[in-house]
Amino acid sequence: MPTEKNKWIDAVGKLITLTQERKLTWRVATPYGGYEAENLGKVLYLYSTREDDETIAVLKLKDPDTDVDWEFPYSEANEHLMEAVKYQLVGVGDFLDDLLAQAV
Amino acid sequence: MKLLLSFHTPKQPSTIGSMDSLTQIVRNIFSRDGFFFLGNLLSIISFFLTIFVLLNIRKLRNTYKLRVRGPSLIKDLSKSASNLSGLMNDYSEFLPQITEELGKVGVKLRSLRRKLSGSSKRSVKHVITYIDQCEISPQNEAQVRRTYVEIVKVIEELKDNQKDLDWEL
Repeated sequence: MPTEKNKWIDAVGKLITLTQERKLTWRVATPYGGYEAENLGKVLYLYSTREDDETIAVLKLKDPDTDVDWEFPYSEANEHLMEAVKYQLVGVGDFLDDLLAQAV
Repeated sequence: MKLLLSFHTPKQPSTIGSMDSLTQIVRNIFSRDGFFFLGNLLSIISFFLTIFVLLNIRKLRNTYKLRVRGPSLIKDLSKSASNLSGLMNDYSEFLPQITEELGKVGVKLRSLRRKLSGSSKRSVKHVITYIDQCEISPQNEAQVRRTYVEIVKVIEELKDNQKDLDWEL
């Protein structure tokens, strides 16, 4: 397997875990659209863009001091992270629990 | 005449000698033992050639199958990986669904493994081992998450493999 790409998939996989375990809290990134979160002194940006007639999720890492950003290599894990972020922000889990507990 | 013969004498022994040895080689080849030896040698060569051709036909057949079936299998795998990721938003609540989804991934990967060769085949085998050894229980979330990441990695590798196939055929 190409190890360099795998390292980034491992990293995005870790972000998915942190997001799903609510250890990484995302918010809507108002000026740019998409979502942002802070982790280990850096800012993570996640947004959708169109590329070759396809909508893909782009993940960027930004240094808040220098304002320089860097884009993660694309993999399917980006899309899964996007879904996990939406799940967290919408509060799907809590909604489901409340809905199922609601008296009819 | 004598003078003429003596003039040619120095060249004759080597030429005649080599002609003699060539004749001898030809005579040896066309002797019974020679034919046996040549026949045996050609049989061995044709045996290896047959194996080589058979292996190449097998490889071509697998490449063709991969070319035809690969994209839909990879699409199914992507869908399963996406489902798996979604289900892990609430791991303990979705254990049966996660088991089912991992089972589907295992079946698809086994189907792909038969059509693959080289490093991609090894990677697929590696992930199948991961899935087989993955015990889906409330205590084993980390291993399931590790398996999910391995599935995503192999999907990316398979996608690259499909792009390479476009150049091969």
